[in-house]
Amino acid sequence: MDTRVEVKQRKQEDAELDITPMIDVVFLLLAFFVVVSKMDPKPAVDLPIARYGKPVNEKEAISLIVRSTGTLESPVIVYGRIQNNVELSLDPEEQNQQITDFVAEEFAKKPNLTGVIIKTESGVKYQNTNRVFSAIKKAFDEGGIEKPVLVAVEEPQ
Amino acid sequence: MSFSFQCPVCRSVRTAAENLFGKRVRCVDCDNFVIVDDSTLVDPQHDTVGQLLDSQSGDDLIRNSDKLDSMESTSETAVISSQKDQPQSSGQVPAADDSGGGSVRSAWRAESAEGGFDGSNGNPPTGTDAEEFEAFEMTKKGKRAEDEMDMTPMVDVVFLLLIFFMVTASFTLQKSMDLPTKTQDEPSPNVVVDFEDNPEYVSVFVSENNEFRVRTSEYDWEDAPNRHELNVKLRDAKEAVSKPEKMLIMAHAECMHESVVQAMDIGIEHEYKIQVIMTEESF
Repeated sequence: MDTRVEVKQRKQEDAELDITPMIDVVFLLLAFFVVVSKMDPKPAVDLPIARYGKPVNEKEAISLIVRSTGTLESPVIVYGRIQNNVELSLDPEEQNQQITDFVAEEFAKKPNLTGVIIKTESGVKYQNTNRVFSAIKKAFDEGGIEKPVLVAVEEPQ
Repeated sequence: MSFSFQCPVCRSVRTAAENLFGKRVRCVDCDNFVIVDDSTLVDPQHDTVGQLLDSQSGDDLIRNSDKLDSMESTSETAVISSQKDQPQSSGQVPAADDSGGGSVRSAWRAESAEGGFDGSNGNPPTGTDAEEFEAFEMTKKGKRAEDEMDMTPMVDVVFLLLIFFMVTASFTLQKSMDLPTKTQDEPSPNVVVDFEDNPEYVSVFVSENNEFRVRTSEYDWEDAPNRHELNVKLRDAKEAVSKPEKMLIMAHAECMHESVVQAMDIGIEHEYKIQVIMTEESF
């Protein structure tokens, strides 16, 4: 009968309508995770713990990672802007020159960078941080750049 | 397997599957819902042909197909119906029959899928199938209604997940500290001299063994073996008469980066302006 066909059609329409809130929620979830998730995989660095670190946007800064591996005088230094990390040579003099060149080059390409973050691992001696700092300062002095040099820390859990 | 009943509204005799006995079914002829129990039970041999002659007025496809099924309940009417509108040869397996009406075939297919129709004897379905088809239709509709309701718990769960991830997700930003180091190519003791008698400064020395020593305008180097001692000393230094605002961290070249960061952290806590220099002397 006609009435039966009508009932059938209306029920189908109802079933289609009910999907809408679910799609809303799924889209909400999708947007949420797109915003929250970090697309760039970061190398794990064992940073010193401090309570009063300021948040900094890593994507707008140069990161230098000073690892506790390597020799004590010249630990392995990795540089790069989050991705495309490159290991530097183990010779301290060469390292300094490479850091200076890299920083100068990056700031020439992107003058809007907010600064340089030194990510020194916990087991590294302070003289290495100081040496990296000096190399960065050298690049800053040569290029007339006035940007902060930061040490990365981790919040206590 | 099946029983016959008479619809109390239109008086037509129909058959229905045994499991529907005592339940509410819809009469195919008048579309009314009737409860089939002892009061409607009839002997299937009577009245069947008369009812068939009664119900010739249908014009739409579903109704025709329903009637076709009922007509086929006796062998004579099966022949009549096949001459009339459904050119259907008896003895054929219904699912393979392409010439029959669409809804008839779908009903048969549904039957064979449910196992209600025994296709092995090669006979077309009997009148029983009409009612079984009705019953099948009803359960299908009931299931569809349940499908719609099933969406709610899923949305609930999805919301729960959303809340879970909102609570657990860590919006970790890289934390950092300014490194206010004096530029120096060589660690030189001369720099230290400038600060030595300056009452504005509190000096913190980090030894090669990662121990802290503090000097203020009020006292010369005093040990602060751990960070809590250093915390106390820097807090007290702030209360001194000279009101020191600045803090000089003298880091021994051999001390750990970690210790310097610790000293800086405590300095920031007490709102000092921090300077860091590296030295190779001990104090």
